[in-house]
Amino acid sequence: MLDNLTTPQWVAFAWIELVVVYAGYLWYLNWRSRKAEEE
Amino acid sequence: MVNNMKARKRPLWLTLLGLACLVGFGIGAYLALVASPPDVNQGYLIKIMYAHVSVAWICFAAVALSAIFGMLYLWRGRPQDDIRALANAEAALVFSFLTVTGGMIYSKPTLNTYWTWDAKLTLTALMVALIVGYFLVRALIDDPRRRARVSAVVMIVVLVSLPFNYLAAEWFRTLHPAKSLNLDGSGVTMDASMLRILLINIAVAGLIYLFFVSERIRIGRATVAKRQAREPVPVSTEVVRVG
Repeated sequence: MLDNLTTPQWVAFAWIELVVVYAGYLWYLNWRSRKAEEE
Repeated sequence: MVNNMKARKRPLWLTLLGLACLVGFGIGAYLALVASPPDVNQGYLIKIMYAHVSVAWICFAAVALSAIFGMLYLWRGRPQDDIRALANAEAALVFSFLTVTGGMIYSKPTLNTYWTWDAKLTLTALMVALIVGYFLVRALIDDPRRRARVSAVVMIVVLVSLPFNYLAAEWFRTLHPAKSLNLDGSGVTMDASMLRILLINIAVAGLIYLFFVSERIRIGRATVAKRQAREPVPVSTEVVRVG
């Protein structure tokens, strides 16, 4: 499926992946912060 | 002893740093995706390079700082150093994951393969495995002091592998391109406009790293402060041999 991506799609894929991982870690930090407050 | 109230609240500067990260990321992404000229060989695929190289540099910095704080813990035995080492190790895990996955996404359209077991990529895989090992070690050891000591040694091992990883593309035949930006000052083989955009994206990734680590240290301090409030006297399960 990924083999047929065009150049703009590869570029978008790389940058979206960056945003998703940053957002995911931010979500994890918020969860840890809430957990620390609740303990 | 960690100040409980001070550790619990997110300070204003940290919130402002988070906002600066958002603005910085917007500027870095605009420069990479819109303003950057196409490369003579790679064309517009060069826009992936700004995302890949910036996180790779920060990954190396996070590993180095985690190992340095680990060494400080081994030297001084202060819990704050372990909290800082752990925060940097988490950032190292995030940025190493981004380095590997971003590299695979960059490699497929430019080199027609996601992965190959050459020296550079194998050393990178080893680095990621060792960072994962750092967290496995922490999960398996209950005693906080022993956990901090053993995990510090694991991160020092990762640090030792970094120079080999950094120079692998120069020393061995590898699919990974050679460096375009030599830290020893021997030269830059990159167009000035691209170099500017790359350096801005490295600075933005550094800002995001700083925010992640500062927030993780704050959470770590709050967790330790709560634990200390519940159990005022830390108990070690280690066996001490006398005589």
